[in-house]
Amino acid sequence: MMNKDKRELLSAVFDGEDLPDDELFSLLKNDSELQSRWQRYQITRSAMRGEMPETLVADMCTRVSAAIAKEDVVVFAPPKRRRSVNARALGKQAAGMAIAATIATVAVLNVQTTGRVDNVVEPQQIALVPAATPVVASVVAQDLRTVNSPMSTGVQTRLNGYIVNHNEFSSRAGMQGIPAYTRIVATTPGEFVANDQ
Amino acid sequence: MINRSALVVYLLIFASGVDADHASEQVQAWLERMHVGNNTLSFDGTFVYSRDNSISAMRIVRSVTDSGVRERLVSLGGNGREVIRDKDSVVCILPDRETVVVEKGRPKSEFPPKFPMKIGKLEAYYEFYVDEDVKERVAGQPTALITITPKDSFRYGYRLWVDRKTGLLLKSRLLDGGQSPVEQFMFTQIEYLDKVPEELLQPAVDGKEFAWYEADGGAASLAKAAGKAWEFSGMPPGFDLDVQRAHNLARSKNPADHLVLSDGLASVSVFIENHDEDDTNLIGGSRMGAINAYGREMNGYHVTAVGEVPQAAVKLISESVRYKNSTQ
Repeated sequence: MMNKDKRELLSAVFDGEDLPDDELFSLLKNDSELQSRWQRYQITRSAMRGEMPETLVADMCTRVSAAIAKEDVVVFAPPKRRRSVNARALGKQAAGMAIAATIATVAVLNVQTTGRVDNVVEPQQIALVPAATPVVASVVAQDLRTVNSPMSTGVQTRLNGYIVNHNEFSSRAGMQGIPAYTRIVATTPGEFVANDQ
Repeated sequence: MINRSALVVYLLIFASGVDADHASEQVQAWLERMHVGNNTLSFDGTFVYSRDNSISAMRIVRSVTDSGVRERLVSLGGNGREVIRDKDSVVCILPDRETVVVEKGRPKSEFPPKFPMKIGKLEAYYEFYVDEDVKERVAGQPTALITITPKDSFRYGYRLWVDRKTGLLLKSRLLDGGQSPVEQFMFTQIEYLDKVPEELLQPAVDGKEFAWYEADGGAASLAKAAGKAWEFSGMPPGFDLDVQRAHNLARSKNPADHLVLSDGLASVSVFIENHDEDDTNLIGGSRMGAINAYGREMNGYHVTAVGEVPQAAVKLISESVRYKNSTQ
């Protein structure tokens, strides 16, 4: 199995995919890189559940910043066929600080999480690993997944179009509580789910 | 760091509230101060945003000058998404979808915008509390904490951590009726700037190879075209119609009537389009983080209510839309 496939399998297991313990052990036992990755997943999950001591969070921030400082950081993972990348893209220092701070924030936000951890899970993944997202010629979040019940791609697309328009006016009419357009930029595209209340 | 003429206007407003002893006036002053911060400060910051089970990191660069606000919001995750906006347009660059969505014809509003909230009216629907001396620092800045608690199930609660020195909103938590967070955001780093370097406002990707979708506000109103007007037979208490406009949606190019309702704090958009006989119309309820939506068909039209309010509010609003014969 290629390393990339192993990483994807590990990520899937972490996201809840069933894999017998002995197979997981076989996957990890001779691969230090995967072991390290698995450990980072576990730490991040603990952080998201607010189960990490503050000292550990602070220490991890320091180490992540130091590690990033040594890397040739590609701040934005280049999508396929991206042709023109502005050389004035965000700098290495900003990326390092952001990522390290993010990890700390994952802990302090005390996010209630029970399932998928598929973004900002792993520090390096944020900035260093090219996105594996398949390229689909569609708009905004046309690939939005549904969790609780099927919702067509067309509905998702339409709803995201509404959000873009709503953003412009909601900040004028009142208060959004978050910076405008955050939901559009969010790493995981908007994910509308059916709600039959 | 701050646009000077706007600051003068706002300081005059703010000064009148600072001396107030009454709690509601204190809240009003802090909300106004937050409004000042959010509309007059130039800065470069990084923040995290979480909803449901996901967390995202983003960088935001905002420049405020006499000619208005320019802003660049960019994902620090793998998708490379960016939103660039100025007074004329909003450009959403989506490298992961090889798509650029451009919204033109933005509403012409005065700059800086007026503070929209009146605590006196809002106190019928929310309770307010300010802790000016909260110990929590956000992004290294001392904060004041504003707590807003709804009195019914049609609104969310807010906890807002505001920079004590500048008024910028540094952290927020939207809470459902059970006091569980439905959305949170928090700056992890912030740098206030006197002048924002131009390169920080430029996108990292030009998107020339991507598919572009553009829309503007030049559509004719569906209601007027049909000799009708929209009305609401019942809405959550305190909500009023704030804005009404006709708009072409970016991707479909379908004309839509867009009505914005607000209670002065929360807002809901109602989109009314001609009903398509396809599967792209939302029927019933849907949710994404703090955003709820509810759609239904109405005599050849499709009505969808979308907003940062609980499901009960968008459902009631969507179901209360009616049309009446217009005199025009």
